[in-house]
Amino acid sequence: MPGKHVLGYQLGLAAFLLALWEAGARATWIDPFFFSRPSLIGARLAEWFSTSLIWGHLGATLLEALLAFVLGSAAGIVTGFWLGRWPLGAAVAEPFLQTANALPRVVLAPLFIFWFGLGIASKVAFGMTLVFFLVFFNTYRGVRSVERALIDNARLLGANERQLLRHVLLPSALGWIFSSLEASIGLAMVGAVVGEYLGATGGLGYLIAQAEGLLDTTGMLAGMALLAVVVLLIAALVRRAERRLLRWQQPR
Amino acid sequence: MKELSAPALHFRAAGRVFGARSAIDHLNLEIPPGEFAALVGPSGCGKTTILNLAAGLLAPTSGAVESFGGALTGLNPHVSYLFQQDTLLPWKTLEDNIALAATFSGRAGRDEAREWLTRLGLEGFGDYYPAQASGGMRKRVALAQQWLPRRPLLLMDEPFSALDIHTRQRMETELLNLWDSDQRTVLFVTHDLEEAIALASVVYVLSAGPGSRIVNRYPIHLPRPRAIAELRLDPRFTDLYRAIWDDLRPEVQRAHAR
Repeated sequence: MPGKHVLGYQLGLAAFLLALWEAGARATWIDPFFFSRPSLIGARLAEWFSTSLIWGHLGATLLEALLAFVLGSAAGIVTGFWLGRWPLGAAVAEPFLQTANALPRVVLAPLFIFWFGLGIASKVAFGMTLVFFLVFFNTYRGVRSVERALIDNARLLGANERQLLRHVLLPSALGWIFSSLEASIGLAMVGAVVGEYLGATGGLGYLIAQAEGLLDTTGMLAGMALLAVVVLLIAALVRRAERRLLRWQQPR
Repeated sequence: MKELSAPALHFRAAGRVFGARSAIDHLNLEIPPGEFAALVGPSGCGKTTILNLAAGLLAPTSGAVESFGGALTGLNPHVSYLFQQDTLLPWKTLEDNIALAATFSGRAGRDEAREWLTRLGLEGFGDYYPAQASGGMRKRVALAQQWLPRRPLLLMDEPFSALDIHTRQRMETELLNLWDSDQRTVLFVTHDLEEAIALASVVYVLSAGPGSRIVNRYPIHLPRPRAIAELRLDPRFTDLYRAIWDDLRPEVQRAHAR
C-alpha cells in the first residue's frame, strides 16, 4: 500500500508546479504571452463564473458529450451483445468494423458539420463514432469470454435467452464494459469539444477557438483547465458506480 | 414421453466422434430410476462426454440417448448437472445462487434458499459472494443449486475431486443424506474407485479411450445409511474394491501406455 500521505504529496506537487510556472512567468524566464500565468488563468475563470454566460457554454458541451456518451455506449453495448451471440454476423461484420475503426475519426468532424450543421447534432454524431467502437469492442470481448460451463449450467437450470443475457452475459461483460466507460467519457468530451472547435455557436470548444482567434493564451488555457476538471469529476462518478455494480469482485 | 417405469437414462449403441477421434463407441447403458450409479474409468476415457450426452449438451454422432422414455433432442429437461469446475455465478450471492433455478422459473425461491443455507451449515453466509467463500462452501452451494429444482436425474462430474479429504468426506456424507431422503437417479462420474464404491448402488467400469465402452457392472450391496469415513475399513468394501480394481487396472494401464 502506498500509504495515506499520497494525497498530500499530490497536492504538494501540483502547488509546486503551479508556483514554478507563476514565478517563471513573472520573472519572464518564460514568455507570459505564450504561456500565460496560473493567477491570470484563475482570474479569468473567476470572471467567467461571475457572469452566467459560461454556464451556457459548459451546459452545451456537457449536453453534447452526455448524448454522445449515452447513445454511443448504448449502440456499442447492443451491437457487442448481438454480434457476441451471433458468430456468423460477427464474421461478416468484422472487416467493415475494422475499416471504420482504423479511420482517424477527426477527419470525419468537418464532414459531420457539413451534414448535420453547426448545431448539437454534428457534435453528438461525431462523439458517438468515437465512443461506439471502444464500447463495442469491449462488450464483444466480454460476451465472448464468458465461460462455457456458466452458460451451460444456466441453460440447464432453465434460463431462456433473455434470462441468460440478464443473469449471465451482461454481468459477466460488465467488467469489460466499465473498463471502457471511463475512457469513453473522455472521448465523448473530445467529440464535443473538437466539433465545437471546428464550427459551432457555443460550448467550451467554441470558447477556446475564440480565444485562439484573439491570440489570448489565458482564455485558451482557462478553457482547457475547466475541461480537465469537468472530465475528472465525471470519471470519479463513474468509478463510484463501478464499485457499486462490481461489488462481487472485491474481497470481504 | 415421461414414464415412471422407463429408464432414467438409456444409451442405445451411442457413439460420439470429435473430429477424427472417437470418444465413445457403441455405448450401451441403462440406468433405472432411483439408482445411484457411479461410472469409473481411467482419465480421458470419455466420462465427461457421457454426461454431456446425458444432459443433451452434446448430440450423439451414432446411436441414440433416451431419458425417461423420450429420445433427447436438445437439452434434457429432467437433469441437474453438477460440473467439475466452479459454475456458481460470481456476481450473485450464495443465497441467490442457490435460488437460481427458481429465479429462472419466475419465483423468488428465497425461503427455500435460506432453508438450504441452514441445512448446509451456512447460515449467516447467504450474502457472501462466491469469491469470498471457501472451496467447500462453494461446493455445498453448488450441490444445493442443483438439488433444489427437483429434477429426477442428477449428473455429477468428479464434483469433489478438487477438495481436501475431510471436506470431501463431508460432501460425500451430505450427498448420501440427500439421496437417502429423496431417492433420485444419480449418475456420478469419478476416477476414484473408493469414492464410487462408498457412494453408489451400482458401479460401472469404463474402458480406456478412444472408443470407450462399459467393461463391467457391479451392484454394491453395502447397507445404508453408510458411514463414509469408516466404510473403507469394512471387509465387504475391500473385497468389492479388489474385484472391481482387477477390471479397472488393465484399463488404467492401457490409458497410461498411450
